[in-house]
Amino acid sequence: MTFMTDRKSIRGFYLWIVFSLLGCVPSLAGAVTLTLYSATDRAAIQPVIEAFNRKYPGIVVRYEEFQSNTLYRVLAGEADDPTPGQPQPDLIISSAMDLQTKLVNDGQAQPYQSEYTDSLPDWANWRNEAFGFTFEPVVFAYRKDLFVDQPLPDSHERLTELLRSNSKFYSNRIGTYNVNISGVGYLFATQDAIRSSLNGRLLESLGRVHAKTYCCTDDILRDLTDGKLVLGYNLLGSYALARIREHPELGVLLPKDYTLVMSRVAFIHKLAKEPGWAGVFLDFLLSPEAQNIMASQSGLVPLRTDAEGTYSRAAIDEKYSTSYQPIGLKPTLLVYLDRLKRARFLKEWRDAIFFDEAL
Amino acid sequence: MLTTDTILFSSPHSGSLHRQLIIRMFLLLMVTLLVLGIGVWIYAQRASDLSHDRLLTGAGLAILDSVREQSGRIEVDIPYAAMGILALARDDKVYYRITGPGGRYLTGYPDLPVRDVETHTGTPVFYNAEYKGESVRIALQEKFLTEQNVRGWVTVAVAQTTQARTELFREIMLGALGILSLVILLALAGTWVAISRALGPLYAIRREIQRREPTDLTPLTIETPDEVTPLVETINMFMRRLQENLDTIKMFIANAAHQIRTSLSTVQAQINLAQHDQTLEQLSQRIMKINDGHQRLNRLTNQLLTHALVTHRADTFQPESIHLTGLLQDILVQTVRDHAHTSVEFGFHNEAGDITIAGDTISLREAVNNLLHNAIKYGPENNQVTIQLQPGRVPENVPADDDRQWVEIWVDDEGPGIPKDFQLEALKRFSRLGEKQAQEHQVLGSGLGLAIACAVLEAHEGRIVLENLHPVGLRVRLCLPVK
Repeated sequence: MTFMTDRKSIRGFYLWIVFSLLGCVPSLAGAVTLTLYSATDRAAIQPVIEAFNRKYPGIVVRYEEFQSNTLYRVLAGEADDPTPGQPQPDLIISSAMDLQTKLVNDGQAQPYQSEYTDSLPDWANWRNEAFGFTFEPVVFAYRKDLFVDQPLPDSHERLTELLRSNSKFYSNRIGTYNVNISGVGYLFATQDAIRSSLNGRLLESLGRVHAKTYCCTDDILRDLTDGKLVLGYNLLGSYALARIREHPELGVLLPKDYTLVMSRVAFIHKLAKEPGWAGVFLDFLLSPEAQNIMASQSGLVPLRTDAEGTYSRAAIDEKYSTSYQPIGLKPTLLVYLDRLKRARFLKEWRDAIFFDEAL
Repeated sequence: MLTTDTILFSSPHSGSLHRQLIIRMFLLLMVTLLVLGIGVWIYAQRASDLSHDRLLTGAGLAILDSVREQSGRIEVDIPYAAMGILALARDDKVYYRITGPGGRYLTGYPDLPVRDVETHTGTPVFYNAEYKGESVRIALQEKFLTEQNVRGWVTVAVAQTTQARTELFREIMLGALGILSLVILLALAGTWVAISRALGPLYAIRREIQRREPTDLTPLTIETPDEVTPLVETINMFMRRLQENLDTIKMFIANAAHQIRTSLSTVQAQINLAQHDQTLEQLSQRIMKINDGHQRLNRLTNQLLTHALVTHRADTFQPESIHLTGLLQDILVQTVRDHAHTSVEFGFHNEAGDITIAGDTISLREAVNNLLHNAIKYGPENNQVTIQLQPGRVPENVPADDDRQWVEIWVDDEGPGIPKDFQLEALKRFSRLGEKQAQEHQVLGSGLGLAIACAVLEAHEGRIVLENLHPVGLRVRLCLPVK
């Protein structure tokens, strides 16, 4: 390479420096802010975000946490944004797969494609717009110490039987989601209704033993730990598995007849300010790096089968006999979001669970 | 040498047959591709619409089936299967809207563009629309509720984005076009090979002829397919005729040279002898002989020139109207005047009436003149020469579609005639017969008379026929088409 010393090229060189500085300055001063709206425990996702920050130090990740129902209502324009004036979300993450599907169906997402999204299984990728990135079984959690002389309900059918035959043992001591409040609870309940013909009887039995209803998996786990409950029905496996690490008196059951599998769904918002960085974050979520963090630290069971850690799929498969039924990301998830269908389902659910209150 | 020939004798040519065939075939195949392409386009559109419209119909029917009256209200319980059917097109978004009697909104997307359907036929109505920034296909279906409080039409609109539909359309389209293009490429390649093979013998013939010495006129011996064999045969026939013509010309030149030399040397010899003649009587006899020889030479030269003239005119003359009777009478008067001192009798019969033909007067006059001379020459002292104008029969070897009238000029004499076997031969220039007869009869002649007539008749698309008369005499029939 040779240096040119005539005036023209020197002037060009100065211009180049000025433009480079102009190009750099904004990105240095007002660093990129990536806004995540998420219905995931902050504690669970925190290690992943920290790893992302280490890898991309220039990016500020703004994390807003929501209940899954609220998140949907905010995005659908049915509720006010809790942080008005702040930038709109770039990436939306929620465990309520049906609500996420509805938002995508209603045109709130923009497509994104990379080698990571291409490697996803079909059921975890809809239209290259909605992507599942975890593999979280829906489980029963129970008090090991209290079940010493009791038969374990290792399937939905068995649970139905035991609730009838052993109603005294279970009475007031079984907890599950309140589907009126919890988006993910509603998803699990409707998936049960689709998959099992026994579901009506199971709900009826839950009502007869005066099952308690909760907003969140964590509350059920707390009451289990406190000894107020003996069994939690339809819990998020990821949170339950994390909890039994600290509380050996708790156990987790993956129902043998079928184990629903929920996948947290992320999509890039159509009006994202930073769609490029949202894509980078999405790829990071699907990358072995983040999936390994989920498997080892955060307790979110990663989707990738090659991830390693306590909460990896390999680790779960080793410990439990499984018949996974992943909830597929597809338009069928919209069925129970129908206004009339939802009203009917909730009424039937209430009639079964709170049968005595109606009397 | 070859290049010069090519430039000098290049025939008007219409481009490469090979290229023309290929281009035409290509254009034809392109048109085929276009027509089939349009067909496939329509078919692919129909097929993709039909298959995905069925999904919409199926889902709509399943939803309609779940519409019930319950305690005075309309209940809709969207079946899981309805969405399951639509989810067969996995990547397409799904929208629906259900309205009760009077257009009352029941459930679904309230702003889905729903057309007013007044038909109430029960058959689904399909249409395309824009919804949420994407093009969607919508199926409208209806069901009549008969219960009292809810009596009326329930309308279900089921909509789906057109991604899978477009994909199927593209797949059918591209698949079919791919196969079509392949077939057409194969057809083109096949055509190429077929044309090359078909034209191969032509190239072989060209090579064979190019390779030859100019003097080599032997027949081509190339193996050719049935279609090309006639061409080779024609070329061979042409070369044979060329060879014959060359032979004739050679003989003509040799004969002419020989006769002119003989006559000249005879006259020369007589002149030489005349220098030594002593008596006046001897000298006058010598002069008579010189006169005879000179006359023969004169006639020979005239005939050669006439022959050259008619051959030349045959190629170049512009047809003019000839009044045959007038022409013949004219010729006859001239001939009678020339032979007034002899005892030859002349006659003229007109059986055909007033006839005008298109032709060359000079050539025709020469032809008839030569025949008259022949008649006088070969006939006896008291010869009777008759010219007749006869309505003609159509000659034998005339194409069937030729419906021209014919007329014949007959020239009869009382000479020895020509043996039937030699008649054809006699029509050629310097025919051996002509020479032989000339020797036998000790008459002035060159054998060119009939050849001249023959050339003239050929130029007039006529025929010449020789007939021996009974008991003696020759009749020369000139058959001419009346134009």
